[in-house]
Amino acid sequence: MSPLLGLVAFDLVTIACGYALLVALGVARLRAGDARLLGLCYLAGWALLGTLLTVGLVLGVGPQVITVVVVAVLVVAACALVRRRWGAAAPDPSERGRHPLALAVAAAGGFALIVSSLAALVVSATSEWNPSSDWDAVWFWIPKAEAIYYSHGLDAGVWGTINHAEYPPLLPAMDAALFHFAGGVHPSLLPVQQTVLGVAFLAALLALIDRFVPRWLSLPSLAVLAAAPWYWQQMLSVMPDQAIAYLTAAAAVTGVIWVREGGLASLVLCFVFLAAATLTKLEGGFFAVLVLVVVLAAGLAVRRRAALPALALVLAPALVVLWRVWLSRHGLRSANPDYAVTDLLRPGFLADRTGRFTYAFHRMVATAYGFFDNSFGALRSPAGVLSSPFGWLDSLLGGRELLALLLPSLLFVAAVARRSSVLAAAAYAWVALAWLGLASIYWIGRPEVHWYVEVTIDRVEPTIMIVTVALSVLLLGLALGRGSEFTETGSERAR
Amino acid sequence: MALGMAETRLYAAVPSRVAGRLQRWLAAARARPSPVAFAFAMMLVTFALWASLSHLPSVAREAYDRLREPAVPVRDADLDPLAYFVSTQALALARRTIPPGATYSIVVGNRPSHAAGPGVTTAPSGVRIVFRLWLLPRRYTGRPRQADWVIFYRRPVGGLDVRMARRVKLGPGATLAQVVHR
Repeated sequence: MSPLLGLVAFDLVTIACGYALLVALGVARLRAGDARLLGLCYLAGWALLGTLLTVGLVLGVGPQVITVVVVAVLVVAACALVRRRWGAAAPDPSERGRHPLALAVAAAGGFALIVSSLAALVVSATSEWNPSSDWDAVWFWIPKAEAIYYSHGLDAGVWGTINHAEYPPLLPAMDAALFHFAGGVHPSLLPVQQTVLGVAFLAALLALIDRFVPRWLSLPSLAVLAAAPWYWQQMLSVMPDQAIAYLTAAAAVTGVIWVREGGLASLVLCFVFLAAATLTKLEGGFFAVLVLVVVLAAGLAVRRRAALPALALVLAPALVVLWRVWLSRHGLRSANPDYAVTDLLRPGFLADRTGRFTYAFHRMVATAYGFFDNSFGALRSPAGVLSSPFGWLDSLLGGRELLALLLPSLLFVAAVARRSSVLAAAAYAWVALAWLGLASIYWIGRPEVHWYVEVTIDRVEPTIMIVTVALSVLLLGLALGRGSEFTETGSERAR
Repeated sequence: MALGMAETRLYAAVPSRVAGRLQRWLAAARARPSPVAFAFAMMLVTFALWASLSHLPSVAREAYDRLREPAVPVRDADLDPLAYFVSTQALALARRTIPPGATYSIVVGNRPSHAAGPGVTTAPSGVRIVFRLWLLPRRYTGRPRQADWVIFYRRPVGGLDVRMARRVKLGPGATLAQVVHR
């Protein structure tokens, strides 16, 4: 089999797993209309398959072709059983406005989204991978995938010689599975695979928010993300950070949807995305725990006792315990050597390094501003008369980037908070905590701060940006809708 | 929907009929789509459409240009990008010569190489990282004496306290030597 055909076969297996899950949850209905869920099938399947293969690895089962196929068959069989026995009802599609202007705007946004996504796929499939921009991938991510591929599992002797052995192995496991399907170690396939995941995320986000957000709003908002140079560049990267961003954003959106309307489907999807984000990298675990805390707090505040089943979400980040046990059984370090979280409890240590915090915070503001300015940068005219909205606001405020970010954010909160106050509070609590947490990592980090921020911020901060965009579009759509902030599921109403 | 503290005080301060009307008006206002949200959404959509459609020509042109270029076989596409750091001829020959499972070590000198073009020299650590990526499942060791094979990169063979049985030229400035263990 040619390597590209192997990639296609692997992706079809991934889609099959995701589709089975969506059918079991009642999100898909076994009809032609389910084609609109293709992106969600892929993202959910990738997360589910990745989680199961990682658990399998820890238990001593390697991700060979036969293993992946058996896991997929078991997933499909289990989901079919769940569907037959419990048969969850599919959510009703919402009615859509038919105003000609709304249709035209949605069509233009959809066109931009499709062209950008197809172009990304073409570029990733026809160009060579770029080790210079993904040096950590050359250094340890791809070698880990190779180690799993050649050892048919986790060989502690080899794993321990590769840098950052403490990072959980979901991405290397998925890359190793892809290598098995492709018939050999082919790093050049990885950017294609990552781009497929990136495009699938955009389609998944659209499918998730489609019932709450009018398409004249969702399609242009996703199109600007797909066409933004910074997102484009990240989409082609073979590092795990972008996958963390997709999984965290999907978990946050499904979590917020669960808080709003209850229901098992959103909760299960949130669980799958949280588990996969946790098993991808330590930072993924951090972002996932924040999603968990915020969703549980909002859920308990709104739904009281009906929110208790959501406590099961705690098990998703807890899956990392399996990985830690494996590391300690083989005498490998489980903490990141770049920082120790317990240092946050040492006031003297923190006081001595306040300069690191302020520097990191300033750079994070500048980077966030840069992402937004870069997204809307195409608005600049050659003569510089017109600027991006952020560039214009920044110059109006005399170069105060923080204010240029805060003012539109406050205006946005004012716009959405009247209709979705609890959800807005939950969403922006996540953003604030993630922001503070990331700055704190730089604060307590051991590497020299300028270098540390320089080499990591463009990879790590996009997660906060992408989650912010996803939640903002959802909240804005809810603010435009009719009815109350929260709805009840059928089971809750029956009580 | 629960009343806020300010609203409760407000209703307490006005006659009940007026308070009732005010409450109904507020509830109705909450049920309607927010005009501020609508204005914000219109602004966002305008900027988003403008920006995404403006990016499209460059995005589409890049994809079109790539499609017109001749396709690169997957095996070449795997190896070629590493040429920026290390001689790909050395990588390919080393992989062909060292058997899978054998141990190897790399000693790197400071002599300039033209792998990345004139004037560009990859740091020794970078050279080792690229060889280690390419030579798995062969096992790397930092101690040449314990290795079955030693790669001399950008430096002459020798200078180590090891006996060598066989030498394979990997290209300019790169030699592979098989170690004889006593």
